[in-house]
Amino acid sequence: MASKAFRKIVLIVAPVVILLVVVPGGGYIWWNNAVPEKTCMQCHEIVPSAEAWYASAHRDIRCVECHGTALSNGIHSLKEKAGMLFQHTTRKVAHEDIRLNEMQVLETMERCSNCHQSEYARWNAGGHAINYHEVFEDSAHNAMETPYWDCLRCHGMFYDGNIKTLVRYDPEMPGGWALKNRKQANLPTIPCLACHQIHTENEPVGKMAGELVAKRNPAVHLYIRADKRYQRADRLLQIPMVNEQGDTIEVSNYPAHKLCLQCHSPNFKRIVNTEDDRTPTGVHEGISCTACHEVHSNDATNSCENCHPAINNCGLDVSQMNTTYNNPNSVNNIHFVSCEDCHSK
Amino acid sequence: MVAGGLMFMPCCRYPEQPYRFLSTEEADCIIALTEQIIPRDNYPGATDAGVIYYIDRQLSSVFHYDQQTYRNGIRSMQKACNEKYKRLFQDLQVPVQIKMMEEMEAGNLNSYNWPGGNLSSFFNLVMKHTMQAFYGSPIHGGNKDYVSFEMLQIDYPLVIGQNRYNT
Repeated sequence: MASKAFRKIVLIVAPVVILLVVVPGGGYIWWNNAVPEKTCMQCHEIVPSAEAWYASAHRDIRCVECHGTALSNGIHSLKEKAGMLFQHTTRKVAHEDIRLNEMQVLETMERCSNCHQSEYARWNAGGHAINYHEVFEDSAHNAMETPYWDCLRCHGMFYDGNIKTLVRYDPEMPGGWALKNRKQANLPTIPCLACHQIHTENEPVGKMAGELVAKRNPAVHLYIRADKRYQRADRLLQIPMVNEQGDTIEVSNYPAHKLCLQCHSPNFKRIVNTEDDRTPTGVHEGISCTACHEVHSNDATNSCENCHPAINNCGLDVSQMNTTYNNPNSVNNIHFVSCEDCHSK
Repeated sequence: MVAGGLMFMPCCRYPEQPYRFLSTEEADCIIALTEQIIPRDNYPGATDAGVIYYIDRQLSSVFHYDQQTYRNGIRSMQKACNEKYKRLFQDLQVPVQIKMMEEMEAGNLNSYNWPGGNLSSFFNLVMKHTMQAFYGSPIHGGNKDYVSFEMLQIDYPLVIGQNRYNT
């Protein structure tokens, strides 16, 4: 009698278990391991992105390794993927409608760091890892400038709202402005995707040689927040610059330099070394930022030695000079130093 | 696992339709037309700039009042091409396409007009939309990769420093 009841229970429970666990589980495993043509690319709005990925340096990395799976981030990712499915089935979504929100950008950045650990560590140690609190609650800076919409052009490129939803005037705060949402405070404002486009035609580093190297796209792109799209750094305009006297200053045409200049910008007259501009003049006129600054950490320590060896014909050791930019007493300020500053005769 | 896989097979397997309003055939016609308005030379042309995506997107939203003009215009134009050359506009040789466009613009194809519209005004409308797409902001769907800004050496995005009180 008992075994008959047990058999009945098994007959009822087994299909339910199969239906609830094995089928979705199997589907989930299959979905995460199948080629994109069988999964993501079934949604036609994804196809242009997938094609760009096939032509990119990341073509060997599967979609889920950067975008995660439905269960990779618990209920959050489940909700996200369900939302995508809902949008796909209820709206006529076009490729250009698809954008990562800030949380997705930051999650993607964490996955970048899985492979690019060195670059991530250097970025994290540098000034570009600055967070919302450090930018928008900087009392010294807020005393000079009111937060306004264009701040987000460089700080918070992927922020989902606008400056009014980000900060509020608070007379209790030292600088007068405070973040509305404290959860935003520690988020980075310049993540990897601010300067790197993933879905773009390129070749993996180290896989090219000879003349093919010349055809390689620059690894850097500018994310233009206003248009929610990227522009290749080598296609950015070479900005004509002048000094205070109106003389033309030569500016590097190197893609990374043009990218830097988009945020480290001069005033509207394009006068060098005004506002955020750090364009080198004097003896270093025309060289790129990246000739001295490491691209991810921005560290320029000991970079002088790359071009000025301690043992040389002129007998000057630049490593002993005060070349600091930040120190106003620096007599050999690296951004403005001229020939006469070192070579008196 | 196979059963699970089958369960998760996407149910939406309809053919890829890259456009919101235009059909693929209509889009091919407009692509050919706009490419002759701004042809590729040393610089990218209308097709490179994704002009068709601007037109299609705007027709499905802001310019919805022009939808019927496009439908009638394309149909009339194709009819004219078919009767004159036994081919669709997009299949004609470039010199013939240009000749057709000149006739459209000059109003020499009045026999193909439709109630409330004509091929001359249709041509001018497409030309206007092509210019908007090619020279406008990419956010509206055209000017892919800022190709026209690059061609014209337009300073975009505008490089300007901070807005401090003391400057």
